[in-house]
Amino acid sequence: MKGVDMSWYIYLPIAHHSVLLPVIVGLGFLVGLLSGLFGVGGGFLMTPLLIMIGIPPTVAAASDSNQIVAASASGTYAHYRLGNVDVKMGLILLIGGVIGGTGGVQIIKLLRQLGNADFLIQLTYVIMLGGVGSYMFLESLQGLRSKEAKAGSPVRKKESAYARLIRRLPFKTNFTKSGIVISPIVPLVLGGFVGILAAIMGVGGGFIMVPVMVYLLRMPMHVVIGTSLFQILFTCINVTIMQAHSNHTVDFVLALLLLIGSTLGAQFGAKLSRKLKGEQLKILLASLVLAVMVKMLIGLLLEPHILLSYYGGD
Amino acid sequence: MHLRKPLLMLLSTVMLLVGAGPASSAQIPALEIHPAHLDISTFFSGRQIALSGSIPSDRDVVIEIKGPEEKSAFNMKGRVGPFWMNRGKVELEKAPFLYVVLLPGEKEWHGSLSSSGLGIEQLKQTLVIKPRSANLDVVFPRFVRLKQSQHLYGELNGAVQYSQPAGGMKHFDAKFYFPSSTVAGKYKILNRLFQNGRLEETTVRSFTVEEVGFIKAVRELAFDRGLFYGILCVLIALFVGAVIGLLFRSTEAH
Repeated sequence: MKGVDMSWYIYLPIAHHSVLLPVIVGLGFLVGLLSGLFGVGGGFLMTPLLIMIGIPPTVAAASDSNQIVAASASGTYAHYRLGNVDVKMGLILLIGGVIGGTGGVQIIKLLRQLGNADFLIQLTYVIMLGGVGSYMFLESLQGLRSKEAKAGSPVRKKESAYARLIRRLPFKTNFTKSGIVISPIVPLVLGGFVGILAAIMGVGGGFIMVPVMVYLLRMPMHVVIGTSLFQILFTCINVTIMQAHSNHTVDFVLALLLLIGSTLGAQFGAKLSRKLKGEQLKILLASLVLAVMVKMLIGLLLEPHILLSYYGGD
Repeated sequence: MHLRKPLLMLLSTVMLLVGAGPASSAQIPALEIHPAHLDISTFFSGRQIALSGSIPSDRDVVIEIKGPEEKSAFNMKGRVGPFWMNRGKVELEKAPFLYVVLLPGEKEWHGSLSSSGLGIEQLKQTLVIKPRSANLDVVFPRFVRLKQSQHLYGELNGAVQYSQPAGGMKHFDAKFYFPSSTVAGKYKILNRLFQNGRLEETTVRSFTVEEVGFIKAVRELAFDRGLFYGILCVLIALFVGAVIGLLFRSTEAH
């Protein structure tokens, strides 16, 4: 049935699957690069890729969390040295994320009781990715065009209802690294919202958190990346320990191979992010988010090759 | 005189054992398996096993490889509006994890297999589906297709090769590649002797697949001490992340 050179294969003890070593390290490098470049964990991209090469979905998601610990630790460290981590903001978002995540798990339980939870999760994915990706793409494109056109005098925009609400909130705090003065209630609530979505969608939430920090907290892009990685680091430590303890789905060998690639990739990504402009970074991330959204939408619309899948999978 | 009756009984028993028609020892196909068992170690990527033996030249041999029985849960896919989504869960019990039939290539075997209760289609008779309301006729073909896509189920025509007959006997050889997704456990290799498409005799050999060394140690740690294993995974990840970070820092410093 098979006749390939086997010297580059390695067996994964929890996934029950052998993989080609350079492929896994290469995948890790690619996702680590994105992590360092955009401040996302990359779970939304890595987990589907691992499933495509035959790793069981539950093992793919849990082991990916473990490798993100290394990539985000490496990326956080690199960004911290560059002065891009707002620890105060990161901690508040993290607290909100934990509260929201706990609520999100309850919502998932309720959805499962009502039936069709899996479909609702996938649809949420498509809507969120489509909405966030399209908005970021168009906004960044406009930003680039307006800079290119060097439009003369700046136009004073009318203050939005969101901005007025933010301005009225109490306990104003100075987030020095981010260069903003805002009530901690805002990042706490937004962190909670992202936590709910992340729990429902089963991902770390970096790709939602980054736009939230850019557009709703008005933080500078480079601080957003470092702070997002800081928050993802703690989220993924929690997920890895929980999954290993409760479900026995963390494949250490798979995670180790991925993280060797991802930690290297994260360092290159952090360096590369300094060379690219904020708008360019946003357009690249938006394109990636939109590509994943299109892939998921096609998956929902096309008839599957086999009309049966292992429970716990897609 | 009273020794005559036991003597006659003993003689008749010996006659039965030696001369009993189709169960004659000369016709029972002896099977050699190489390797005798399979170890799943760090660099396991599937492994080929070789099966061989000798049979009378007017017989055919069919080899079944199956095991271990498992209970699995599946999502059923269905269409709602324009979308394909999971529509219900089914469980299948008593299905072998792996089921392969190795066949000689010259004949059409479907009829012979069915009449002898062999082959993938026959597995349906032993399967237990839950919930009971689920339709096995719908689920079973999908289940087989899923297993075939993983190279775990198959009826492989031409997998058994014969040598030229000599002295009323012929040698047979067959090869099977256990895929990388093979799980540890007890498998059965059944050697079936056929004459004119009719099953005559079967011999059963046990075949063990087991995890060894590092793979076994990781699995035991993950399943027996999950919390410690999880913390260890995090610490190693943090350590690798920090080391790579420091390496890059020292590279930048030069």
